[in-house]
Amino acid sequence: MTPGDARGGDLAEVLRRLGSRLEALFRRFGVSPEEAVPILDEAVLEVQLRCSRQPDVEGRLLRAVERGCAALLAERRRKALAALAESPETSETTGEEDREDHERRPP
Amino acid sequence: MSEDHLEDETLSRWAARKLSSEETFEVGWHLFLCAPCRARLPEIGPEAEALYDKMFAGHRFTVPPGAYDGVTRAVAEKLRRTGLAIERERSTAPTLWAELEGQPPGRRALLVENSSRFQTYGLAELLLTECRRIWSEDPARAEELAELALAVTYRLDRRIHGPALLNDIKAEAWAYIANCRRIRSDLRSVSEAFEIADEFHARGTGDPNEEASLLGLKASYLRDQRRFEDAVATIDRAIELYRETGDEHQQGRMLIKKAMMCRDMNHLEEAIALLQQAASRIDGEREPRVLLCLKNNLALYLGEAGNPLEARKMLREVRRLAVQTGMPIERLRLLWTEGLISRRLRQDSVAEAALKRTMDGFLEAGIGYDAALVALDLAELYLETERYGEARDLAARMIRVFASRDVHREALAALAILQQSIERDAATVALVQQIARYLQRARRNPALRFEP
Repeated sequence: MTPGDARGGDLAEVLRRLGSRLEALFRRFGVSPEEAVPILDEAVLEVQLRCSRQPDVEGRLLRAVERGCAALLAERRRKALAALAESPETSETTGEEDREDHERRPP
Repeated sequence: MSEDHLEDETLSRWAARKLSSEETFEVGWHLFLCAPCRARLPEIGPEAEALYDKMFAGHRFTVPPGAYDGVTRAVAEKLRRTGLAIERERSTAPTLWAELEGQPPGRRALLVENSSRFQTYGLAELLLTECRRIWSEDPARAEELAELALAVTYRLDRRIHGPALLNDIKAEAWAYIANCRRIRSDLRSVSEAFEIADEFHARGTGDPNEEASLLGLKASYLRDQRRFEDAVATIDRAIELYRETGDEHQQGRMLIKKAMMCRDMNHLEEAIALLQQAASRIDGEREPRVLLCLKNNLALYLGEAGNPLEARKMLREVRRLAVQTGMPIERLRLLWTEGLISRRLRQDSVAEAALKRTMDGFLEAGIGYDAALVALDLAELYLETERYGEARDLAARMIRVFASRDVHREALAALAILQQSIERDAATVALVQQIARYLQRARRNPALRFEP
C-alpha cells in the first residue's frame, strides 16, 4: 500500500479489495445499501484528502466507514429512545426493580 | 432458542415494557438486525409488533446477498471524478502558491479571502507541507504559511469537504502554528495555539493519525519546558496510536523524539537503543531528512557515550544522506557532529577546523543560537588544550557577534560571564560545559537565568 493509493484509480482498486470487509461492517451496523453510499462517499473523501502522506489507506478507509456506521447507529438509537419516551407505556424503571417485583409475587 | 437469538421470556418482557430503556433498545436492536427473531414477533403478540414499529418506524433490515455490490461500484465511479478534481487541485497548487509568494504577506491573505481561485484544498495542503519543511529554519515565515493555510481552509465548502475533515485540517494548521511559535520561543502563545488545535481536533474525524500527529508536536513543547515525564508519556501515547494504525515510519519518528528526551535526561544508553529501534522503522524514501536526522543523532550519541570509533564509522553514511537531502543546515549539523567526534578521537586540528566552519556557517545562515553553542564547543577545545589566547579571542568575538543575533539577553549574560572568566584566566572546561548545558535548557525559555 502506498500513498499513491489515495488517488482515484488506485482507491477504486482498494474498494474492490475491501468489498467483503465493508459489507460485513455495513451488516454489523444494520446499514442498508442506500445508507451505505453516503457513508462510503465521505470515507473515500477523507482518504483522498488526508492520506497523501500516509501509507495507511485501507486502515483509514475502514476506520472512517466504521465511524460513519457508528454515527448512524447512534442516530437510530436516539430516535428509538425518543419514540419510547413519547410513548405513555414507557417504563422508566430499571430492569433490576422489575425483577424484584416479580420475586415478591406469590407463586 | 440458541444464545444467538432472543429467549421468549425476554421478548415477552420487552413487549410488556418491563425492561429499562437501555435494555429495550438493545433487544429492539437485536430484532432490527435479526430476521428470524423478528419473524417471532406475531407469536409474542400485537404489542410486540407495535413496539418494534414505534422504535424503528417500521423499518426492517433485510439485505439480500450481493446487494452491496452496487454500493462500491457507485462510489468507485464517483471517486474517479473527485479523485481527478483533487489531483488537479494538487497539481495547480504550486502555481497558485508561486503567485501568492510574489505578494506581500498582507496581500496574500486578501487574495485568498477574495478570489475563489485560491480557495482550494490542494493549496491549503501545499502550504502546510511547506510550513513543515521550513519551520526549523524560518519559523516566522512557516507560521505565516500555516496562517494562510488556515485562511484557505476557512473558505473551503463544508458541504463538499465535510465539517469533520475541515476541523482536522484546522487542528493541524493550529498545531503547526503552535510549533512555529515554540521554535521561535514565544512560549505563552504556544499554549493558546495548542488549545485551539485541541478544540478543532475534538470536532474532527477522530482518526488516530490526527491525534498522534498533534501529540507528537505537543511532546516537543513539553520537552522544551523540560517536563520530561509528561513529554515521554505524550510521545508513548503517540507511538501507541501509530502502532494501532500500523504506520511504522511515524512510530520511528516518535522514537527519535523520545531518544532526544532521553539524551536530555542523560540516559544515553536508552537514547541509543531507541534510535536503533527507530532505524528499522524509518522509511528513508518517504522522508530522507528524518533518516539523516536519525543517523546524525546516532553518531553523535555514540560519540558522547564513549564510542567515537563506532560513531566515525557511521559518518560516511550520514555524509551520503546529507548530500542527498541537499539542505545546507543539515550539512552544517553533520559538520558539527564531525567536529565533536573528532574531538573525542583527539584529532584536535580536524575538530577545530570543523567547529569553526560550523560556527561561521550558522552565523551566515542567521542562526545565532546554534553558532553560540558551537562556539562553546570550540572554547572547551581551546581550554582543554591550554590555548588560552585563542580562547580569549573567541570569547571577545562571541559577545560582539551574538549581541546582534537571535541570542536572548539571559544567554548573552551567561556568555559574558564566560568571557570575563577567560579574561581573568579563571575559566575552566567545567564552566564552559555548565554554560553549554544552560544554553540548551534556555533555548526555548528566554526567561531562564544562568546560575553559576
